[in-house]
Amino acid sequence: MVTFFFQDLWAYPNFIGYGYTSCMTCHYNPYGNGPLTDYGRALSATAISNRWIIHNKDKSEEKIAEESGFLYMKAFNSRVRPSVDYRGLRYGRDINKDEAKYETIHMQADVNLVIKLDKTDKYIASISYGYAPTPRSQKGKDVGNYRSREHYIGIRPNKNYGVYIGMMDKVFGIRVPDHIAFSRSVTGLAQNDQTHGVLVHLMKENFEIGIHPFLGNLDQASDLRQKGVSAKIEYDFSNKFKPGISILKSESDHIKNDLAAIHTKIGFSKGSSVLFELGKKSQEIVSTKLDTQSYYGLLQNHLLLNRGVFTLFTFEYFKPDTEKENETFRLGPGLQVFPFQGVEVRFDIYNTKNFSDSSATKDNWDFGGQLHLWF
Amino acid sequence: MVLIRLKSIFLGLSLVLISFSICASEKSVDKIIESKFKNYGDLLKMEEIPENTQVLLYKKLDFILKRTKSTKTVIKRDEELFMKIINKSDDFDLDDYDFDEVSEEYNSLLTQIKNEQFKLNYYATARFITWNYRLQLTDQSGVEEPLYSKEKGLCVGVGTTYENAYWGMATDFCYAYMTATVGEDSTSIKYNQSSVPVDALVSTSSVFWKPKELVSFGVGPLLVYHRAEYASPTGGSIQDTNNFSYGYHILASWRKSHFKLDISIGDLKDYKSSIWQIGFNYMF
Repeated sequence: MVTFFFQDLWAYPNFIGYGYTSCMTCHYNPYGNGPLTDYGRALSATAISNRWIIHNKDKSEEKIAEESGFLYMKAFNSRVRPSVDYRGLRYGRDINKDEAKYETIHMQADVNLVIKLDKTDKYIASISYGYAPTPRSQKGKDVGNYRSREHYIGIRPNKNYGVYIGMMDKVFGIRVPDHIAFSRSVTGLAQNDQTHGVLVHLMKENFEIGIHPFLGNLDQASDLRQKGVSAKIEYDFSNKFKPGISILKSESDHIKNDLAAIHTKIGFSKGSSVLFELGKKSQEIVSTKLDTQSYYGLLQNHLLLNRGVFTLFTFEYFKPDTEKENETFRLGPGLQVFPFQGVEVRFDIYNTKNFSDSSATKDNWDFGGQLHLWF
Repeated sequence: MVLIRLKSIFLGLSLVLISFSICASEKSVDKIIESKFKNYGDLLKMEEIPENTQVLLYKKLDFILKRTKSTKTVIKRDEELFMKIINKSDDFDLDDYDFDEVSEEYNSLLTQIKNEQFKLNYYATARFITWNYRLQLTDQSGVEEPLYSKEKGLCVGVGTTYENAYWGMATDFCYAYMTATVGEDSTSIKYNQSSVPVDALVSTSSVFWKPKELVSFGVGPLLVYHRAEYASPTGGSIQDTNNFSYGYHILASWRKSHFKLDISIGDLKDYKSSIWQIGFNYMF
């Protein structure tokens, strides 16, 4: 049975609704996630977030953009970009059942630093360090709650290509912020699955291509490290339509993984979007040669109601083993609000239906309320 | 009282006079054009239009604009003539008459009127549908136990929308062919059956708001007729295999060209779970 687990908000591929097809516009990492560029901060302050509470009516958007730096300040020099991030979650699991559980999790409290070796972001070094909760699977073990989830150097001589060396998320599929999504969790691409490697990123004639050979997380025991390569190719048919394909092949001493997915991002009107991904995973247990094939699907729609206010519907499918009849469907309406720059509040309800040929079980209902602060 | 009545009469008379004077003036402009150039088409084909006739054309535009404003109706003939005059006005050289301003005002008026106009459309729909149906199992000792029947399948049908650019209404009917897995350990009977064929007729209606042109958000009633042939357990029976139920749903839609993606979640009376409908509509 699939259970609710905490989610983390990182990248926002749904911003294709604003005509932004590439994450590189707003993030130092070309596939999103991690610190925002100066442009990304200004955009989040003036287009994505509303201007409630902290900005008076007379304040111009230009002024708000100018003061969108660290702690609402102007950039104090051209080389250093500090930022802090906090994400907390209050969630309820199986809220329709007698054994409902409620928990609050501090998912992340990070300090980020980007050092720009030149003024045009051609050469950068980025590091994020901070608190991460103990994963549910490791509960009771001393796994260390302070660590770096991302650190890399980036070399981007021009807009067309860049090389990023260090620890970062694997390049694969649509990097939706919901890490409970099957497209992130069953693929091994969730909030603690970063890897050391080299990302080569190319952008040419509407193609966006990422090739990412990786060595696994070097902080892990060597036999557990998933070493391999992933690649993603996308094509901009317009600034509102970007389909693509992804592949990933990796193995450790114990497990071999093969992933493939097709995906697309579509923008509707201003700010609204549809994200779609359909993928297949093959996993082999090396010692037993046991091979399992699974399928997953994601359909997520954002609807912009007002500046900074979105409703979203997420529909997901998961078939954990193609040789068995078990299937899981999940549908979740949600509300996402950016009242002003630096604050995001999100509420989600998830209704999960598990199907099998041997039993008919009650639906699961979960909810999550999330606070995300970034300054 | 008498004063108020007199005021109304004067107001009415004034409106009649204004309308008459507008029509009369427009007629006089038309008459002049027709007497000199046969019709507007011939006039606009001329390479050079005299300045005093350019002024008449400006007046004609103004009449069309005022009439459209007051009637809130787009007359095809007016719209075509307006556009022809505007296209020709690029060659005009009148300092005191701003054709661009009139054109902008007319176009924005047209957009507003067209956005407010309701249109009737038809669509075909194919959607994934799922719910947990409620059954009643009676064992041989007469004890009743509730059962879950988890059902999913494809619903195919047709529907109609009546909408403008801001809001609308929709209703559709679809036939669902579904399969069910039913079972729950009873006190006296262990009952389980998979791949049970289920037929259902589903009517989905909604009133929807369109915050943006291509996206909408709605709410409305659901009607469902359910029929399935579950095998009876040994020594017992199953009730409520046929059922008519009603409920409500909320939905969000995204439209691109002729295709519309709908995601809907709702609740049905007596059913044991939410009802989901996710699918595509083809708008004719």
